[in-house]
Amino acid sequence: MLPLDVEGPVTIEVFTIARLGEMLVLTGPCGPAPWLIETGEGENPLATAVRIIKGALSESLLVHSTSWRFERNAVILTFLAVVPDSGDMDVAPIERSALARNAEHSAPEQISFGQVLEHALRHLAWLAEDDEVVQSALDTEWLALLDGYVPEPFRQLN
Amino acid sequence: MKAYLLTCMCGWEASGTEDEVVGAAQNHGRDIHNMDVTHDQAMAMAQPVEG
Repeated sequence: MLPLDVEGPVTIEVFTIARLGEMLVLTGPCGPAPWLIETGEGENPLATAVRIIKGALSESLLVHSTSWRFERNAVILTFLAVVPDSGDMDVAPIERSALARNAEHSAPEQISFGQVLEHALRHLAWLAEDDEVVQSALDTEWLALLDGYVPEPFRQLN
Repeated sequence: MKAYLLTCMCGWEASGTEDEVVGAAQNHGRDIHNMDVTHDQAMAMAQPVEG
């Protein structure tokens, strides 16, 4: 453990994504690294995620939970935060990954950062076809970029 | 006055005097990670900068 690390039974993990020209990029106040947010005892994770994301990002089009997994002795709740542009935050291109697949009654033994992000984007692509709120939050350029992701509904990753 | 470079677990960095890096780390911890950061926790992530 680092001298300072997020703790507690529930950790929020945020992938902040922006559109840069005709590609999607990872960005955020921590740069393209996964953005971890601690939840205090009794805190509603969704309310905490939205409060911190809104405070840290000048504008977000959409915040949505996409998966959960058990890791670092905690439940990790993954959220996507969609921002119109990266502003002065560092960015990194998003690469495609194969999904981590469950067995019949068990989660994958290992799951990578890229696989969690891949699942999140597929989930967003599914919502873009199925959810009016998401459809209205994203413009046609965003929807075109998400076309490349195979829709897949919410599921446990680990 | 002695200068420090402080690096968060996420890669975010701050540099300056002890008071400056501790204050910056406490703001960053509260605003970005929803964490209360003590003076000692902040300084445990700081390295003195030569020169």
